[in-house]
Amino acid sequence: MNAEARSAGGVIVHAAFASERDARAALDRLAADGVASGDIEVRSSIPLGEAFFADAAPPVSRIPLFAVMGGIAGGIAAYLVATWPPPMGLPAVSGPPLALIVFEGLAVGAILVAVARVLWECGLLRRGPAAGPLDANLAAGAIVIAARRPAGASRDWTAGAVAVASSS
Amino acid sequence: MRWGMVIDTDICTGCEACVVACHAENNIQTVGEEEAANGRAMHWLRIERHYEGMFPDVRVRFVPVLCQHCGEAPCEPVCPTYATYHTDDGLNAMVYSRCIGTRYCANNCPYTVRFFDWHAGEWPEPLDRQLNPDVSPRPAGVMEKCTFCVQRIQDGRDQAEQEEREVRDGEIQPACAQSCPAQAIVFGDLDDPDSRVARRARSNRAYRLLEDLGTQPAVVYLRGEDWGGEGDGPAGPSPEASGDDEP
Amino acid sequence: MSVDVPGRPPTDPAPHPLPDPSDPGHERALLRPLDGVRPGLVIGTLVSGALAALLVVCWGYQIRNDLGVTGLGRPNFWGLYIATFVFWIGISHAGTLISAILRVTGAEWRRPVTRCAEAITVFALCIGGLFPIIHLGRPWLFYYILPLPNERLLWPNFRSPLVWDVLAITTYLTGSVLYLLLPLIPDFAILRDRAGARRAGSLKARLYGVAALGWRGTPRQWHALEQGIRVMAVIIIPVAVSVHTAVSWDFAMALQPMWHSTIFGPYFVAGAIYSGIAMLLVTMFALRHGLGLQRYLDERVFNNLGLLFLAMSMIWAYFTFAEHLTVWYGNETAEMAVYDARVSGKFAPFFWSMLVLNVAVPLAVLGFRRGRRPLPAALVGVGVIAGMWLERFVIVVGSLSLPRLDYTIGSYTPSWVEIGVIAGSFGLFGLLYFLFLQVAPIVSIWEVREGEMRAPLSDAGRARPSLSSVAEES
Repeated sequence: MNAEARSAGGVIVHAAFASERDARAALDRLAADGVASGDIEVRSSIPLGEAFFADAAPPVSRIPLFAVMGGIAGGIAAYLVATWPPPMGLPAVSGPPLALIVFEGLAVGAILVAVARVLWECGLLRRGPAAGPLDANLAAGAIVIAARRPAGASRDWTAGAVAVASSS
Repeated sequence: MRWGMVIDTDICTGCEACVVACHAENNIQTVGEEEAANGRAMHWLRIERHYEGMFPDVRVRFVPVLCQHCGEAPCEPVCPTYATYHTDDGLNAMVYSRCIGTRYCANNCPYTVRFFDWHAGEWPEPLDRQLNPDVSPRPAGVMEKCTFCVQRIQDGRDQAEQEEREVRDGEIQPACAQSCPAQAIVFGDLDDPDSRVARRARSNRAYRLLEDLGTQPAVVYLRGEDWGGEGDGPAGPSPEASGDDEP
Repeated sequence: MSVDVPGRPPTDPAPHPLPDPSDPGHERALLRPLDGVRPGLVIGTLVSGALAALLVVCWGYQIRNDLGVTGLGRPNFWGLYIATFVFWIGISHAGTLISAILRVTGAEWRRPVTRCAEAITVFALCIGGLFPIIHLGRPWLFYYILPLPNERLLWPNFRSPLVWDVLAITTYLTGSVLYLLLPLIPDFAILRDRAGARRAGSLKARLYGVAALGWRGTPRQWHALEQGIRVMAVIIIPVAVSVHTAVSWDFAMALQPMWHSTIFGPYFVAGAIYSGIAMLLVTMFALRHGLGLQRYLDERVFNNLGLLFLAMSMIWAYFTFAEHLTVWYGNETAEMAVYDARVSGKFAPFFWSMLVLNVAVPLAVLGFRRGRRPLPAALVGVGVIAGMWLERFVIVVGSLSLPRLDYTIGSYTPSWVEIGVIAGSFGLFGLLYFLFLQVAPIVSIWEVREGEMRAPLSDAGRARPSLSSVAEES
């Protein structure tokens, strides 16, 4: 559930779970109740294991590709910086030093672009949403699942949840 | 054109007039006794004394050592700011204003002929009147070394250009060559086969310092005929090596 | 608690009890330095700050009164500053080994150690990067070494190993800082949520919120972050190798006797990793006892690091022997002058102390399991830190004092300015580290939690297995 969906209105139910097993069971029940996956947000303080998402499509991450592209760009940039403006007409660089310089350019280009891509894919560096009601549990190690109550569900649907939050 | 020098060590008397002349011509600072003891004396040209033989057959060889203006200078590739580079006429040039004082060039010079300004030179009055206006005194923190009196070379070339002629052999004399009473130092164009330096460099007494390093120095030394050994090693010929020489 | 929907039979097993947000349990030790003002840490910060001020004072004095205030002179154009520069860059290889190599090879025992190692790397690099500027004759013109376009069409000389140093260290510093900050994001999020739960909108929560960059901990974010960390780990290993190789080539590219050696590249990299582990052991020991982190920096970690340490000691000894044997056997006059001074002459006390501290003591102590416990390992680490500094000193000063034309032999006595700057650099390292301790958890909370979660639960159900069994299972 992204920021837009969160602010789309309706009641959002938060629940905290101590283990992946419990969280998985809750997700199964939510799916059985017909809640769309776009209306569910799972948050955890540690990465959840592969068994948790056994049935879902693995998320596609393009970070290695971007790292390679950044590396190529960095290598070319380093080569140009080292050789293009011939200083005072004197010999610029010879082979082995150029290899080292291009290597460093490759590395720094790959690093910077990979980190930029990580920030992009994580959706970081944007104005953060308001703090949720179960953040303390999240920080202590629980898995927090937030789901929008489906339209037309009875008020009993949220009975037993740890906290209820309304968004305007 | 390649500027070069031939120094005849057989004639050199070790009087050090060249050292003094170099100081005067190039505004080299006098560091004082204490600093000199710390290895900070700034003699762009130094006279090395090498003793050979055992008493009573001792001989002293004087070798004036200065920047060799190497054709393949090891000091040039290592300067990070291009403060030292090779000119078209064979000089190893030093650009004081570009030097940031990493001192890598000094470490890579196998002849140890580069000097660093640990402090700026001071010429309290009236010593400042002896300064040569053609040569800039160096600030603290830069490297300096023998330039083959580039100000005189430049002057001579300007003069020749004004008069629309070539530079004549022997017309340009660095301070050391000019002041040597024994005329042991000869300066000129090594590429001109008729110049005095080129003719002397072809002598069978000729050798270069640390030749096996491949630095291609532009300074050629002429050894005395009664010496043992092939020229300078790190310690010079050892006293024992003179056993097979002839007077 | 799980969601009970009326009408659905409760067929699921009883849910696991939630961790109590107000009781951090064993993580209290990790969070305590960050809560409020701890007197011990403040005193440490002030003391190291005073020592760091010594660095500033001495360096300022040197800038004002020229490099002549050092003990340098012909032919010792480089001295303690360059030796200490190489030393600090070497120390910075701690983080890369632990964090990157152990992460790539999947060694689980690295989890509590990664962050304190990466912190050492970043701060050691910052300090090491200062020294080339400190040793310059005209440090205010240091930017001449950078490729900055200017109207005079001047450019740095990319053939110079010093420019390679600048490139390599800049790349490594960039990579290390980002490699330290990326895994810090989830931890900052944990701290943000804790601070926000205590007092919503507090300054602490807001600052940590900025630091966490809006991290929510969704699976998509975790996947991207872990990918990024993995990619960074793979990139940073060759960068680290290249950095110390480039630094060693400051010497190897020069014609000085006993500098011009092809072995310097790998030799210095091995020595860097070696000294890095030494600094890491000392730091871990201080953290373990100073912050009460015995549960995380436990005997298992010290044992494994001790074994790595011993291996690096043997590798370093092998390279040292190979280098000296080659020189001695070649019997070249200029090199033998330096060799003799090192083995039996003026530098013999430093050379043999170095061998004792770097080879004999580690072998004698770390060769036994009892020696790989925290205190003995840390003491050996202190000795190796000193021994590796001596190695740099012997290499730099030992060779320079005996040039090829032996008319210009000279000795070198460091002045108080140089000693002050070097002592101050250790103070600066301590200052940066103490400040870091009070801002971020020195053991990565989420990585340790993840390690514990991945271990199969014991028969008691929701037991939290101890860290040592986590390591053994992997």
